[in-house]
Amino acid sequence: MKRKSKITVLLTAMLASFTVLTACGGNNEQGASSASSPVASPSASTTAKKDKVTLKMAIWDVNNDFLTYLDEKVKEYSAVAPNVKVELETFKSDGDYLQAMKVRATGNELPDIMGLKPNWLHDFQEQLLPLDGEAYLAKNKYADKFAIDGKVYAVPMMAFPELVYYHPSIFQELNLQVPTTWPQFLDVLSKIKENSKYIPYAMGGKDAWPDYPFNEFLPQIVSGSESYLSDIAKDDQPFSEGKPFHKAYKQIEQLYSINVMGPDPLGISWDQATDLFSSKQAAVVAAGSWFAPTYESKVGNIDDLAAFPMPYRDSESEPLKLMMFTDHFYGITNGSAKQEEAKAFLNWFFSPDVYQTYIDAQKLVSTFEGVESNVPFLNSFFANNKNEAFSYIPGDAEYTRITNAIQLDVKAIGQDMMAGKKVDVILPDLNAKWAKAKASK
Amino acid sequence: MSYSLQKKLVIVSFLFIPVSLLLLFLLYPSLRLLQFSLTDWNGISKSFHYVGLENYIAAFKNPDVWKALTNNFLYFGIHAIFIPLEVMIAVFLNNKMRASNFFRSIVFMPYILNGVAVAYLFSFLYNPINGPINSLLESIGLESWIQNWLSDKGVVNYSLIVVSLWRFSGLHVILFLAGLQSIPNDLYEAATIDGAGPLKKFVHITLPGISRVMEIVLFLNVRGALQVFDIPFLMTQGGPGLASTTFTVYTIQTAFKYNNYGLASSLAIILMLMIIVFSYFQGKLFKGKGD
Repeated sequence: MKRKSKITVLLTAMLASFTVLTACGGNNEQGASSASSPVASPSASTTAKKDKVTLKMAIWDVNNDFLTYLDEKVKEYSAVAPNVKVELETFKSDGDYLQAMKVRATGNELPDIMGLKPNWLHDFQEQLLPLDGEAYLAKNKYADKFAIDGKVYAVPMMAFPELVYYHPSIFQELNLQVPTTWPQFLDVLSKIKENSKYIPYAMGGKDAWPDYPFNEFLPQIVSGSESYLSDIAKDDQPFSEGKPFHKAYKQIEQLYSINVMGPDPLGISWDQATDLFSSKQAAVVAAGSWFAPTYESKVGNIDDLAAFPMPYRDSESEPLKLMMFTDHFYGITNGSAKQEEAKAFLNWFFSPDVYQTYIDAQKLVSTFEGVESNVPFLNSFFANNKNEAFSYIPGDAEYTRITNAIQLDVKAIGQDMMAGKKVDVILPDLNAKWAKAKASK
Repeated sequence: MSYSLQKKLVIVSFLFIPVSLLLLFLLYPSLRLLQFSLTDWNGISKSFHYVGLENYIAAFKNPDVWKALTNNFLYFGIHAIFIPLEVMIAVFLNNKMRASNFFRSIVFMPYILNGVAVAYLFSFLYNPINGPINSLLESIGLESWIQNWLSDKGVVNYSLIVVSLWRFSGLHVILFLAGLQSIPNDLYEAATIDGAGPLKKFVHITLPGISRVMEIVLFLNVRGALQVFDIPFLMTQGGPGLASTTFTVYTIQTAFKYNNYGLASSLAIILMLMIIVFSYFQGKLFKGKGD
């Protein structure tokens, strides 16, 4: 018995010491890293006046060529600032990237410069340094729109329109006109269905997210207000009849109910859906302009590819707005020990010469005044389609809080709608959940 | 140094590393999980507030959690129904028959395959466009049996459970087989001499002989059914809508998609408790019968 109790005491002591050690470890980390970086290589001061600094930067992109380009590009910065080396870490998917950054945020190990999507800005605001006063902000066309409490935390590097792609050859064959209103859009899809040679719309409903041009974007664009998402956070019943969300979802219900998405839209993934489109088995698909390069790499050319803006409006008397999505926001983390170097790097990174190569590698729309991207497909789209730009602005902190609390996933609702669930059943339920979550602050 | 001191020193020094690893990687994270389950932490923010048992109450009140749990019970129930069949297969494989080694390895094969590979394999089989299952049904004139395997809300869970059965039944069969082989042959011989028929032998010798294994299989079934994750997550992401979401899929999405680490932690604790409680009662039930 006596021995047993001694062992117990020993074990308890070990547990206690471990807890203390791990707790200390967490606190020491920051101090250690900030202390070690400036003295990393004192011998280098013979070649450069300043100490050598390594800036860590992280970004995601699906396009491998772009990541290779960026990796090469950031290395060129050493020619501008010989004491600074930029190390780029890349991820293929935004999901993996977000996951990694969340884990690092909790360990105070975020990179010095990080890429962000617009809807992550609120989540990472605590970790970011305000960029106010930087000269490049005045030239960026979108940065102000994403300011939080008047402060800009990150700068978008690219923008792209949300498009509806189609095969002009099919439209010619079936003698169809490009639709500019919602009734025309439904009519075109119905006519393709009647002809029965092609699947009218390629929906990869199995993945949920491919319904975003409808289920995520339509309410915003129907509302006509860029701050729509933040506005509904102030509304107790934003899904009631007569409000933009209800109107948009009724429109979507019309689309899903005319069965123009092939035999089993929920059974096929985005890749399968775009294969159907690329191989000309399907006539229409909606996606961001990032899809055009993917299509080109699959098919080899873009001869039979054209696009029109999502024709969400009821009649031609209303203006046709075009959803522009901004992405690849860059910000400096406030836990960084090298903020000055990071600021200097961003100034170089956003300079017109460097930025031109960035936007050309992305094949998307420029966000900086004075720089235009050289993308023939987009240039011809903008030349042929007159429309007003409408920016996607994510909801504010309150909107994020409510949607997370009720686990609102509009894309999963889209799946439900494709499976036949009625808007009149979904929305009252959402209203009730919303009001409850909004009140429970 | 006295002998007993030496002995203690040896014990302590040998135990130090495994025990500290256990504390660091098992006990410490579990305690942190318990701590987070009492907070409103969003997984990114530097600070959080303690909210007491609010997360637990929210979890119990949430109809989506219950919906996910019923899906888990579907896995549990159907797997349980298949256990007698698995015992039968094990009995067959235990008999001396031609190429029994070949069949034994075939039966176990699905379990060795990587779970991700299995999920993709079946995604392909269930594919609505040129999917082999639908093609097969078509070629044998059973078009009316063709289903939207992964997109029909009434069918999707069964499609996924078939994958789970395919993958895990082999393991159960092999476990039963090991149990069967541990029963001494003398018992059967004695029973034969006493005039017992095959059914009596099965009920009075085989079944009690594999009761330990049965316990393990039942525990694996409870644990597996409550934790089922990879198959629905990879094949349907819990969709369409929430139709094939299981408790673990729901927990993961709560944490990583909706940044609600507090609620997700409480769900993880609830899962742990459920497994303990179910295993305990199942063990009680089974022991009462076996003894």
